[in-house]
Amino acid sequence: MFSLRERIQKWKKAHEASIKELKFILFRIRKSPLSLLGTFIIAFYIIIAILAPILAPPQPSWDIFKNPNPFIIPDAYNSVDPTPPSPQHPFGITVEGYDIYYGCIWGTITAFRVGVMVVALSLIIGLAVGIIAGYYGGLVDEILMRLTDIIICFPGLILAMAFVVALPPALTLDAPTILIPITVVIALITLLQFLKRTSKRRAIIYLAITLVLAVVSALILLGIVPKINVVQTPLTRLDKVLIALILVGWPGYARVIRGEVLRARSEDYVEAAKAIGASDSRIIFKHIVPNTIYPILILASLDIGSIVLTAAALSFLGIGAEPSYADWGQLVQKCEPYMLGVDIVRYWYIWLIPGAFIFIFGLGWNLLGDAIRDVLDPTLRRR
Amino acid sequence: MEIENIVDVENLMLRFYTYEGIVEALDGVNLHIKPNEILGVVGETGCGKSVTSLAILGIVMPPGRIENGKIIINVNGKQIDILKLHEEAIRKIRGKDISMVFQEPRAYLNPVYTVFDQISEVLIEHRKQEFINRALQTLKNQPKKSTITNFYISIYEKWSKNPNSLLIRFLSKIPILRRFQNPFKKELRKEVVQLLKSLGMADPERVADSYPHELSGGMAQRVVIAMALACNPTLLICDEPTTNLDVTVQAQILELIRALRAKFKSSILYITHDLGVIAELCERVAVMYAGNVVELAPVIELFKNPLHPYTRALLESIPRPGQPFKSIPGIVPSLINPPKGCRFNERCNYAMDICYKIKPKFIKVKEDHFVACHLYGE
Amino acid sequence: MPSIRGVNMSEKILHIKSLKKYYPVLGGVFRRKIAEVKAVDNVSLEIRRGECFGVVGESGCGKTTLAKTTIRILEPTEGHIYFNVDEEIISKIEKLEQNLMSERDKKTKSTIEAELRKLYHQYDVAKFKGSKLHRLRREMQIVYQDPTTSLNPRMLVKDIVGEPLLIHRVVEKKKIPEKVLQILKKVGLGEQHLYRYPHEFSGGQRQRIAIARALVLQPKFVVLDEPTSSVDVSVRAQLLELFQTLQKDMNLTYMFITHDLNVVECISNRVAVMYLGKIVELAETGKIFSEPLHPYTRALTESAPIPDPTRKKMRAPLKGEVPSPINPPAGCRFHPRCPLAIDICRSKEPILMDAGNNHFVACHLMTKSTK
Repeated sequence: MFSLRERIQKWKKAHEASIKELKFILFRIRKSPLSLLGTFIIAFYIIIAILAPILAPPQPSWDIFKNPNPFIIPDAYNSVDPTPPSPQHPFGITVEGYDIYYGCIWGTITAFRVGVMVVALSLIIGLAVGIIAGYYGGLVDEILMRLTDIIICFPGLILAMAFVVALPPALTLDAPTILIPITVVIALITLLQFLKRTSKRRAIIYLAITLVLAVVSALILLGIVPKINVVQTPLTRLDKVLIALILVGWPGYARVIRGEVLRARSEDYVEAAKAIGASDSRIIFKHIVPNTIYPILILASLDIGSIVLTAAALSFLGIGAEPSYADWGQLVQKCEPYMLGVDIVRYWYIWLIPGAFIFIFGLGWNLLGDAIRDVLDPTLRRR
Repeated sequence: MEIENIVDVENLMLRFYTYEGIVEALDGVNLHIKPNEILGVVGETGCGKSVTSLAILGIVMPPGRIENGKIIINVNGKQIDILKLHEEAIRKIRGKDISMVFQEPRAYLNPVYTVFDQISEVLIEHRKQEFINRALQTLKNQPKKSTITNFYISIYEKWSKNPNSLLIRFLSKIPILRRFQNPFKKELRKEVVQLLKSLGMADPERVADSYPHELSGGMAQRVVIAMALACNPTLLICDEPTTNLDVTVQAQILELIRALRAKFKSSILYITHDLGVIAELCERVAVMYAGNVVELAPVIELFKNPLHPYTRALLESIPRPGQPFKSIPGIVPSLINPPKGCRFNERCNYAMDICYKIKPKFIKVKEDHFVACHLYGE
Repeated sequence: MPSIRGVNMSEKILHIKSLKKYYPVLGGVFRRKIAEVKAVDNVSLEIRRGECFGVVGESGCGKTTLAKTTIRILEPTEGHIYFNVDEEIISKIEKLEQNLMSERDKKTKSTIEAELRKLYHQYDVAKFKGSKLHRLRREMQIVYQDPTTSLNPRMLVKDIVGEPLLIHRVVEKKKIPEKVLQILKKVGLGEQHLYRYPHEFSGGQRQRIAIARALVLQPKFVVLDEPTSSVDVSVRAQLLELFQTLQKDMNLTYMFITHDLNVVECISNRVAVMYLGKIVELAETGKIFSEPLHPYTRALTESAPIPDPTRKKMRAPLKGEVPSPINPPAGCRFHPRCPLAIDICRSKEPILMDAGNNHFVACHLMTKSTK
């Protein structure tokens, strides 16, 4: 058996090329001061997020009900007026007595959670839709693209607001709700099989499954078979914000990846893979995706910053997180009563400090995204 | 009386400063082109032939930098060192005295402008005065002069005195008044159509109005050649212009180049990797390898009597029916850490000790036959 | 002329009958078919086992389309392709087809049709689907012209060459690296090249990787689509030598597509010349170059520059350019550019016929097929 050192050496040799790439990327990042700044900003935020329990420890004694959720800002100060920063409360207290410092620190975790989750999930959905539309083309492409067009037509923020308001208070997944989307998806796949004319047997099997599912869903809808509740989870307001942003965000990625897939589809190496006999899924995952995904990842990283901004905007408008939740936008919302007066200067710490957090967060992601794009461009040119 | 060379490249050194290291692209290139001759430059990918032509034109972009050497051109009786000129001065020479034809014609034609627009751009840049005068002459020769014609004549006289006058430029932006440019454009069009016709196009009017994507490869290449010859240059550089074309179209273009050389009396620097084209077209040949010119001789002499081992190996590697294939062993060395001494030493059958230590000088071995090899040194 | 030793003159590995590949041109508001690009128009040929069959022509003549349709990367519009099928079965199919043409009785016609359909389903590559097509990939492979674009830039060499083995599950997963190394050594690369990306290699080496990928499944028939056009002159000889060695070692049959007459003269046994989707001449290499019969072949051989400055050409080059395959000229497609065109060339299309000694030409002047 190989010793540990030998194993490490083997791994190093196998990934020699990737290691060289990584070194080049780090070198380019080091060269540009702006990208270095972006990296530092994000690193700074990550450290805050990790050290949150230490920097702003949640104290159960504050809340008589011993609320274990550290994201709820403790409301222990019954002062009606906001208090400026003081040694005990470094960033001040808002009108209902929420500690801004606590909110900002734990808000970092919220920001990352919102940003990363929304981008990740909308990326997954967008990629799936875009790749299928781009690779198969034809009728499937038309249907999926019209769907994305419909969503893109609406202004993003307005649509997100509409979604937040319209989502139910609890997510109930009962039998029809699961079955109908599955039926639709299988019907689409059946359509695909017919259009691709692979083998009759496969198409007929899929058609049979579609029919069975359609029949069962119809029975349930008509009330003949009773509804079964499979899953029922309550949705917090923040969850609704997340879902809304995901639903609004995926079409952008779908469009971009579809364009890239169309370009990659006509490349020689994809045709060569077909000539070797690779299946469609193999071609998509091993050949097309690795060659098209880089611009998307850059877009996604830039989006994390802007998603957090949008979430903050929604919170400010009052349809975001709950009033006591540790979220930057929520904190800024607290100075809404003072917006149109001179008090806005007096209570500067309510909006300036969380606002600065939001601003620098967005700036950091933008710089980082730019940096990654600059780095990956010359590499691509080199190739 | 010795005939002055049109171009004299002496000891040109060029480096590219990249992340992977310093690429010694050109390591002392020596060339000279005589007036009214076709000089072929042959070599493989990465030998530096394209970069040499870019250096002659003065368009070496960073991270490339010319370290050393001289490029002396002989235009209008004057000798100028390109490397010592600044951008403005070189711009006047480019397109007028030296012009270039590239490999992929459609990549070098702007897809949103018609052929006429692009050729007239070259004409306007360098021969504006001439066309203003011609238009003025045509206007004056009109028997019946309307008020507009008289008005135009006055504008053109002003324009002829000062081709870059601000007033005229201002006028050319005003919607209705800018029609004064019509006689000027007519003269341009006449010239463009004449040029296209002399290049063997069947329907020059139609071609002048088409966009590059409507043209086939051969026609697009002819358009680029037209652009290059529009100002009657002293030197025409062709960088593999027929590599992407069909063999019958290539034959047409080669015939065309020969005819044009006779008509315009320019010198041609023809870069290619196809030895057949070299044998057909060129009068003298320079063989390049890994950033050096290794041999320079008249074409018949080169094929009959190749002196440098690389030239010999290259000629032997041409596939001949019925005979086994002979290739040159090894690969072109990386130019980032080039081998010491002669860069061909690894692959040379005749390598001696000195070939690994000292770089051979480019010397004259016979009348008009230069080699850079230790076999013919001392 | 390369020796035809090792080529079994009578055993044929590939029969192509009346192959057509048309691309529809959509136009108008409703995007209906308004014209067709006849990329390959009624091509029939036979390739013998173990030979190197050259296909030459200029851009737009359809040679690449012919190759890709033959190995079913593209779907043929019409026609039949028989790969590795016994002579008897082919003659049986031919007889049935002839009977079908001459038969009047409807009942017998339908029985003949049913039998033909069964035979087509079993042997005709043009009609293969699903798993049959998948298995065909093992036998017929292709090497592309430009190795820079035909290799996935983000895959390591060992993955590129190992992928066919993985897909077809010819050997167990453990043995794949061994097989990959084996084939890499055969094409002149080594173990140190396994863990590298394609862009780290020179053009000639990349082409070798592409060749290794095509040969790792040990196919019987390999299409070489201008494999030496993107590489330097000195590397060309290396690759040609490699092709010859591999052909002998692995018992391959090649379809060698190129526009470089010099190369095809040295490596192929027989040559077909294509123009605008049709074969205009087909004969043994030596004969094509020593006595070209078709005017187009003559023009091609004369236009190609010879690397010998003492033999400068004095002949005038061929006029005009290759017309678009959407609207090919009527009659003989070459007649607008042909210096010897006569009246009948403008109206009637010549058929590819034997002008003696297995030298096929499609030209009215040569075969006197008219009258």
